[in-house]
Amino acid sequence: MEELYRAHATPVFRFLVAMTRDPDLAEDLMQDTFVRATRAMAGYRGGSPRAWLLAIARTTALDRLRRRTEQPTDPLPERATTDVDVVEQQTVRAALARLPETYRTVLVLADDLGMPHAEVAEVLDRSPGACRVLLHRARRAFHAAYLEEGGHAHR
Amino acid sequence: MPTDDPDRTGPPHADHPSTDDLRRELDGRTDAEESARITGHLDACEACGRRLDELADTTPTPAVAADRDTPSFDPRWMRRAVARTMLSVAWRAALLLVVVVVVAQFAATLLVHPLLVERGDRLERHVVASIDLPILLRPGAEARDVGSNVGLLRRTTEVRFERAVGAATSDLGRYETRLGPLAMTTAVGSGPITAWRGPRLSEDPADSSPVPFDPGRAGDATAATIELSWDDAIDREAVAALTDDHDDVALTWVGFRVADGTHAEGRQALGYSACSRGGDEIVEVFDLGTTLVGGGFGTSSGFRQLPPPEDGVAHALEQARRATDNLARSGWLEDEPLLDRGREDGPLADLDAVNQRLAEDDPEVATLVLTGPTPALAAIIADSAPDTANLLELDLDRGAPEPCG
Repeated sequence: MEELYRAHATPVFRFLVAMTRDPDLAEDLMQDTFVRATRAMAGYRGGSPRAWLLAIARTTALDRLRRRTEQPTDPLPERATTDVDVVEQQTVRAALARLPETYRTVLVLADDLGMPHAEVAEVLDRSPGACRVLLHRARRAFHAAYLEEGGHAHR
Repeated sequence: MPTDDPDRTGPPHADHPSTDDLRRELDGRTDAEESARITGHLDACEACGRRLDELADTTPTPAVAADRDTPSFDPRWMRRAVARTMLSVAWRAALLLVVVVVVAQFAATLLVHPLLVERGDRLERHVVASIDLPILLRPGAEARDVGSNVGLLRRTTEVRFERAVGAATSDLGRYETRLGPLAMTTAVGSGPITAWRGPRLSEDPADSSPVPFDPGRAGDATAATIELSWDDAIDREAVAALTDDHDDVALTWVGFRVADGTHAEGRQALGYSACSRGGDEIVEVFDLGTTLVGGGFGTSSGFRQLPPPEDGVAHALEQARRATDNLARSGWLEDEPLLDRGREDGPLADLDAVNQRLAEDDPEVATLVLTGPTPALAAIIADSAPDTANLLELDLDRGAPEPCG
């Protein structure tokens, strides 16, 4: 398990941060994810271990977020700043936050982590073709949200 | 479905989706069936996938920084996970164990409790076997009014016997069989319903041959305990000789009465029983106490178990008599109106009479219990049972007999 962790901790953590927009919660979910993975080891049926771990991470995060829906889900302070990079990051985050969970997930997996469609499909338990279509829809939705958040089109 | 798409470059898959199809799929304007067909095609056809990408013309979303380094591996998580898993496994194992025990208990109850589960025709076989025995001893007897009562731990079947003689019927009495757990069957006659070789009740009045005891009619019983009594004085040596040729049959003497007395509840006696098996070898002397005459010989307030004697029936009887003496001397009898005749002279005077009886043929030994395999019992009954013997009780059992128990 430690080997598995060293090999895949970074994408899992990035995914969890993107999903929750809360690094503290993401760290907490990291533990849960790998603990669950340890228990679910017997259920591992081959395929990409990264996709398997990310699927577990997604379930873990969704369970947690569902339980705390009453809490505000955007704890990141929007600092007033003029730093262009920081402003850009904030806009991107805000745009992502407006997307449905599935869109956000597919964007993080495919664009941020650069996973191939087949692997994304494993995480989402859908067909690769469906994931490919989903990715395009998500990108379009992001772009629309990004513009609404005042971002400058960079396509 | 158009298949003449100019961009088609991939392998010749059937039915490549048209550009319009792909566009409508991207916009979410296809129904579920159509969407499934298109995405299914995209699964396998990379060329169409590229067409989709070009058509959508989207760019990757910019990455978002995690703002924090990936936490390093902490072995404590795993230890905690292992501990939690083991706890849950132990809990489930304990739960499973409890369930298994409960189920096993329940199953065991079902298996041994005849009232809950009637396995095969066990009950019927036992009832038939136990009511068959008195019938065969009284040829022509028929069972009437068969009734069954279910009790807490046993089922009782009651049968009334009649014998038709011409147009008239004679009532032979009642007979009861009890089936309890562990296949134990007891047949209890109400009164002396069966004479072994008493007055013949054969269809042919001239036929005086003994009625054979047929062990084949005893069902699956392999052993039996037969309690019999008789009214006439009987030679003790003759009774003791009953089992001479049968080492596997135990003979129990019951009812050596020290004194006849009167009691509010009826005639009362003080006595004992002794059991022997295999000639003179004494197995046990037991059941010293009082009994209400007419009832069975049971334990009472004066019950005392004697140690097994070392030699001979006579020794056993003597030992039992001495124990009876001691019981009489203990003052216990003072409170019990047992010895009406001997009151003035005290118990010891009566005990002289006891000794006297011991020396003679004992008219008070009126009950015998024979325990053994049914064939051996059949042979004894056929060859040498007392002519006036009445069957009091019959216990059928499967497996090895348990003499002197």
